[in-house]
Amino acid sequence: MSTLKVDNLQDTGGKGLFPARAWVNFQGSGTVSIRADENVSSITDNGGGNYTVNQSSGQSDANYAATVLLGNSSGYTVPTLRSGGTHTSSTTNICSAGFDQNLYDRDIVEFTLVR
Amino acid sequence: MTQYRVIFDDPDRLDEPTKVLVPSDRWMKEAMEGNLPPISVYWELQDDEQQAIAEGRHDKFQHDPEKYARQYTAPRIGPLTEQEALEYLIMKDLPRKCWAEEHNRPMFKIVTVDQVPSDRTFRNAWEMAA
Repeated sequence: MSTLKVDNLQDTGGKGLFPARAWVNFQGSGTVSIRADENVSSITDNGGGNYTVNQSSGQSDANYAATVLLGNSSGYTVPTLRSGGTHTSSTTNICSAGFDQNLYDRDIVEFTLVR
Repeated sequence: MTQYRVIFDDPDRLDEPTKVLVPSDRWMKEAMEGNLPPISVYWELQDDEQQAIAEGRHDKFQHDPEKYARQYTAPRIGPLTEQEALEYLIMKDLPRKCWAEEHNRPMFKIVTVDQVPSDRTFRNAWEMAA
């Protein structure tokens, strides 16, 4: 296997390509556990419906874009809030809020970070 | 697959429920194969960012490029045992006050997965047992 190390990725037209810098898919209910990840050292279960993703190697600043998808086994997705309190270049807090704005555990939590 | 978890309380937020750190198996493998930089590399980055937060300039904060690059370029520290990898992870991902300062009780514990309740009905009432 070979490793490609570059500072910038572009398509043939010269437009930038921006691969995910970190991602994780984990179970946020029952026994919280990580299913699969890249560039994630751990997740923290802070309480009901409240999680933190800790990156292995952090970003150069905290101005990245994070996308979170939440679901239950039925595939139903729910709204999400991302709290700014502990959002740093290497950690992102995920709050899994329902329509009533209370926090609920989710079977499926998927997090992707792009920068 | 690691069978360990780290339960901890944040000394600055003792009114919050006990938290559970779940290590990444992939990261643990990297640690046990010796692919990590010295922990001080992460501490330097955390210190710089915490200072920016304290000074209210976090939104414009950028890590020093040299310090940032050390995550990838610093000499690796060599293979760790599973316990050493967990200790490294505690020093990297737990609030520093948990382990660097003395308290009147332990602020964190390494436990096995089966010691963490899977029934989360009262998750926000979890407390670390003495």
